[in-house]
Amino acid sequence: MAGAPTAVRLAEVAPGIHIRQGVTEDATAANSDAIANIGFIVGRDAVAVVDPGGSFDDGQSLLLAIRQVTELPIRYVVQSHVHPDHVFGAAAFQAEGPVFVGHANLPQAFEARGSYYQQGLEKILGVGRAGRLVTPSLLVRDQIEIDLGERRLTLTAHPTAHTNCDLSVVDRWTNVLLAGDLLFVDRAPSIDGDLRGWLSQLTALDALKVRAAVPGHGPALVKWQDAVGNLQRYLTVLLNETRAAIDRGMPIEEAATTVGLSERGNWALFDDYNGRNVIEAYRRLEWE
Amino acid sequence: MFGSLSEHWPVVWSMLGGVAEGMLRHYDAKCAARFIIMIVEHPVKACIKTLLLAIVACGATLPARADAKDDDARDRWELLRSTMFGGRTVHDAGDQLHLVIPERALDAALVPVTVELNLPTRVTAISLVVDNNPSPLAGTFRFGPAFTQKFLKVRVRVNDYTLIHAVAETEDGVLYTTSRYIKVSGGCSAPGLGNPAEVLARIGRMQFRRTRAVEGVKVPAELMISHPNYNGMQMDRAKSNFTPARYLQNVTVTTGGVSIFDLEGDISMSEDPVIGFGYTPADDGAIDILARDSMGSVFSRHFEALPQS
Ligand SMILES: [Zn+2]
Repeated sequence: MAGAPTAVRLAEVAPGIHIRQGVTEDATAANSDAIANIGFIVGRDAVAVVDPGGSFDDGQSLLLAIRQVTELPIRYVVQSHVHPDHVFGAAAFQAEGPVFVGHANLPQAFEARGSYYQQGLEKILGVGRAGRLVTPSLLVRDQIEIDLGERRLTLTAHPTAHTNCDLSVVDRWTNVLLAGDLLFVDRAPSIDGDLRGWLSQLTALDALKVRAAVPGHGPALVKWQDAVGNLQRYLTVLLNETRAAIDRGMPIEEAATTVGLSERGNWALFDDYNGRNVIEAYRRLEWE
Repeated sequence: MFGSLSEHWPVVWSMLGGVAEGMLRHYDAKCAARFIIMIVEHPVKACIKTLLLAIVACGATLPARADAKDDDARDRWELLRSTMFGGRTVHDAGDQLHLVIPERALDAALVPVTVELNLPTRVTAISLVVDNNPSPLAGTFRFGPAFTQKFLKVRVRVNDYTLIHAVAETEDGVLYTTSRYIKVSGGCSAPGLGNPAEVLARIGRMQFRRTRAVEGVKVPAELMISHPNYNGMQMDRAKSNFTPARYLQNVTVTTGGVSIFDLEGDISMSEDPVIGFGYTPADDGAIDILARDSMGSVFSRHFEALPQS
C-alpha cells in the first residue's frame, strides 16, 4: 500500500498549463490509478482542474501540486468523461468548493456505471482509497466558455465518440487543446462510444487548427497534427477491417482476433484493448 | 403484484424477505438487491426456479471469487445441477458436445459462445449456464424439427471467472454436459452507456441473415434482436433504486410454420442478442419471429426465405 499522497511532479507544458502524465499501465494498488493525464490551468483570478484524477489519492496529489504553484481558488473541476481513471479523484476537491463541470450526458453515465466502477476500483485500491464520483452541476450541452480571469476556456460537449459524454477544453490564450480521451497517443485507444462518431469528432477538432494538444493518455503535450493522424489511422483500420469482416460473414469471435493486427506495433497495451475494440465496433457495425 | 400468491403471501414474503436480508448481511448489497428485484418482477410461474437459482447463485458467489478453486467450481456446479435438473444424472458428453469460448473474455459484456453438436441421438434442448453469474441460466433452447443439429451460437455476459456449462437433452431423455473455464480481465461486464431513450427507440428491431456456409447445413443464419437486456443491476442514483431488469424472456423462431427453436432467455444474455443456428427451410422457407420480454412487450417479424446451399 502506498503512503500518504504527495505532490506529484507536473510539467508546465504551456504558460499556466500544468500536466501530470499518467503511467502506461492499467490501474493497480501501486499506481493508485494515476494512469491518465490530468492537470490544471491557472488564470489571473482562479484555477480550473481538468480531470481530477483516477482515485482519491490521485486527486489529493494533484491538489497538493496545485498548492505548490498557486494559492488562487479552484473555481472549476472539469470532468472530461465517465471513465474512472479521469474522475474518481473528484472528491478530493470538494472542500475547495469548485463548480464541477461535465457533459450533459455525464450524470446519466455516472448513474449507469458509477456503482460498477466504484466496486471495481475498490477491489484494486481498497475502499478508502478509491474515491468517489461527484455529479457535475454545470452541464455542457453544446459549448460554453468559462473565465479564470483574462483566461477564457472553451468547453465543447461532443456527440458520441470515445464515450457518449466527451468534453474537450481549448485554452483560448495559448490555443492548446485538452482533448481528454478523444486523443490517445502511444497507448492503445479504447472505444466505449462510437467508432464512426469518434472519427467525425476528430475531423471536427482538426478544424480548430490547434497546434498542440494534451492527450488523455501519452506524453503531456503533443503536436496535434502528428498525434491525430496516428489515431485516425488506427480507427480507420478498425472501421474498414471490421466492416470487411462483417461483409465476408466472419463471426465476431474470429474478427476479434484478426482485425487491426497491422497496428499492433504502434500502440502500448495493444493486446489488452484491440480485441475488445473490435467487438465494440462489430456489434454496432453489424446493424448497418 | 403478488396477486397469484395472495393466499400464501405473508408466509412467502417473510421467507423471501428473510433470504434477502440474510444476503445483505452475509454477501453483498448488489446480490440482495438483484434478488429483491427478481421477487417483485418475475411472473409467478417462472418464479420458483429462478428464485432457487438466485439463492444458489448469491450464496455461492462469495467463495467462487477470483481464481475459483477447482473444488469450489465443482461444488457450485453440483448445486446448480441439482437445482436445475434435480436427481437426474447428467452425463459427461465427451466429444459429442463441444463448447467453443475464448480462454479470456475480451469484453465481459459480450462473450461469443458456440456449442457444436455431435450426438448420435436428436437433441431436443440445450441449456447454457454461466456458473458464477448472479443469474446463471443464460437460456434454454428447445429445438423443433427444422433445427439443424450442428451448432448454436449465442453471446453471453460473464461477471466473474467462471465455468460455462452446456447441457443437452436428447429425445430419449438423457442429459449430457460439457464445460469450459473462462477468465475475465477487469471484472464483470460494464453496464451499457446507451441513452435509455435511444435504447427504447430501437427496442425490438430485428435482422435475419445468412452466415458463412457450414457443411451439412441448408441455411446457416443469424437472428439479431435489438434489446437492452437490462440485468437490473444498474444503480439509478437520482432515484436511489435500480434500473428494473428488462430482458428477452421468450423467442420463438419458425420456418413455414415449423419450429426451429424456442428460447427461454434470462439476463445473462448480452445486450442486443444475436443467435446463430442452421435450419432446413419448410414450406416457402419464410421465417417468423415472435419475441416477448419480461415487461410483456411483444415483438414480431416476418422474413422472406433466405437462399439455400
Ligand atoms: Zn476514457
